[in-house]
Amino acid sequence: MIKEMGKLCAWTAAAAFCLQMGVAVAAEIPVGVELPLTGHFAKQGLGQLRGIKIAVQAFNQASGGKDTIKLITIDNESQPAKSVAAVEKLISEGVVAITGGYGSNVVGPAAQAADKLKIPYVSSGAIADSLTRQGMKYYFQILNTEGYSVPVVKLIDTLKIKSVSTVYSTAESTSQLAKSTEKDLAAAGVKVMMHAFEPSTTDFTPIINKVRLQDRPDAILMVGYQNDEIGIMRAAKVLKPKIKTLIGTYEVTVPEMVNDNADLAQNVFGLSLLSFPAEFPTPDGKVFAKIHEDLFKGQDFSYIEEYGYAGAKVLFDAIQRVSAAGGKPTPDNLRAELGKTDVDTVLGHIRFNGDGLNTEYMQHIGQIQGKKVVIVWPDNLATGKMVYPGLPW
Amino acid sequence: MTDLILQSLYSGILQGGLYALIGLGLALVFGTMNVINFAHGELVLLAAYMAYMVEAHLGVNPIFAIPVALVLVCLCSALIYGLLSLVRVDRELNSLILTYGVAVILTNAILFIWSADPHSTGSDWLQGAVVFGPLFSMRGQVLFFIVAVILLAGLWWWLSRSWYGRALRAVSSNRAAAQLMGINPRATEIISFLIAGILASFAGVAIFSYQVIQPASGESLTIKAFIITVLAGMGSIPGVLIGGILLGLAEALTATLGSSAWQELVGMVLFLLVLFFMPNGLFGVKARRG
Repeated sequence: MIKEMGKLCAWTAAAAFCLQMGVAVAAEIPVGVELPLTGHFAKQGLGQLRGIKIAVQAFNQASGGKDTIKLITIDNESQPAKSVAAVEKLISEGVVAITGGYGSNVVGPAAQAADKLKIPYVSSGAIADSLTRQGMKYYFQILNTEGYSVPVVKLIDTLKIKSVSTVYSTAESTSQLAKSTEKDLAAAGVKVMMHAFEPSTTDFTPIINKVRLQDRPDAILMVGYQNDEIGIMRAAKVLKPKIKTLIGTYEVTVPEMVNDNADLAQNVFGLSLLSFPAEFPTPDGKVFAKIHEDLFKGQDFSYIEEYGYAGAKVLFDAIQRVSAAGGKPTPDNLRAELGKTDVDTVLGHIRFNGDGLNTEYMQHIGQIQGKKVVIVWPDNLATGKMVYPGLPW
Repeated sequence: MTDLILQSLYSGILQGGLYALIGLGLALVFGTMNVINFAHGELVLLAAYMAYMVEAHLGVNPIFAIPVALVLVCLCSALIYGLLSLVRVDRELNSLILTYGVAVILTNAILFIWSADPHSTGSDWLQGAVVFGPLFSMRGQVLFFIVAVILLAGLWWWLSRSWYGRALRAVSSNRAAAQLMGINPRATEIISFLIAGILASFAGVAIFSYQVIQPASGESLTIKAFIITVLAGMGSIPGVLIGGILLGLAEALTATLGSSAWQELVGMVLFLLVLFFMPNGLFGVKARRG
């Protein structure tokens, strides 16, 4: 009996030792994700989540089973208050850092909450630069306003457009982008007429009629989300203002628009990192495309997924560097490592300034031509020639 | 400037017709049962998604989705009534919570089934321009404005002339007295829910025909319907049409003469002013008696 007990103890001790070794060898690192999976930004949040899952797969494959990322995801319902609660819940569950977030007005409070609790937060879906000027030490932002406004201004300059009517949503990121573009265009001598609209607006006829009868511009610049832009293009198609082109910003030159509304958006310009059908010339792009195909077979690529992927990749790279140096990822050493980020991603190069803002981010300009999205700017990345003047009607 | 104002009035009237169609179902149920159906916007949205399904999978004009939408939305409406009839205590408050819960479930079901992508019709016919002199609109807008007016007129006639319509009005004014007169209140209540379902079906197909739908749209539709119900006042069908058009005009004129960014604000100010000065609404029972 005593002999049997002794054997049992020996086996138990051995099992415990193995388990302990196992923990030491393959650490599971909890990373928080707070995203809008329901509500107004659900489309974007779900896209970002797919991108983050691709980054997790890439990290876990590259680590060869040594360290693995464990994602803990909470839906913020596209609401600022819920995003704060999500961050607090994630931190209470022991995450070492957080990534995700969409919409500057939703990300802002979440980032503040994370900063207060000293947990790094890498946002891949906020563009308002003002977030990085609030003295937060643990906040890092992948996107920036200039990355959107500069390509639009360059396009307008290239096309020698003299006057623009900007129709923009009063949501935080869109209004900031519209105002930034207005300033840059005015400085370049372009006449700009501004027309704000509420995000809940569904009938754009009165605004486009004002543009048609009062502004008479060379071009209409749409600064809103996909549903807004469809509404604006429809109103323009009915009223037919005498313009030379329509320029969109977010989510115009994307696969869904080509598949569902190609006629409506024909020859319309828009910000886009991807041509359609998509091509991925960079090494990181190839990794992204390969895993995307494995995980989401048959689904079209979207730059929203690239956002989620790039934000998570930057964070996971920091985790990997900490681990490679023999350390255990903690909020403080991750924050320090994130500050040293200098990496090429599917979004381009990423490097943060002292405020945690990635200053290297730059969108491209695409144009819907037939059933394709052709990249027309910058010249070195162009996949086709731009059509100008060109309208959907 | 004249062209600008004329177009603004025209757009406002067309938009108001749609608002009335959305608002009438909610107003009818509120009038009959004193219940604010917070899931009404989601029922409208469900019909819109039926239109999307029919267009995307069968490749036909979304108008042909109306029969499918009618069946599904009326079924859902009847189910909501079934749930509400289980509420025995504190009906007004508990029904708010219950219908809000149903709205959340419906929104998430729509999100789960159809994803979060925005959808809108690809029909050239519905998006085609209709031009009357200086007035421009989409064919879908004009078509569904006419449909809205016909439905509202039909409902007004039915409520004032048919036995069931009168029964419904009787239950609306005094449930107990109506019961004493031999009217079955449960039957009239379920009829009002089914009619609300029919109106929601048409409104949903109309929305898909010239606007953009996404899973989160239901809530704002319910809010619009609620504003119109308050503006109109209880029990007035023409009031709903006028309330809808008033809201549409206020929004369109604000966009034209001021900024579109104030549209929602103006709608809310209008709502508060009516609540403050005419608590029974523009065409509420008290006002009509007076």
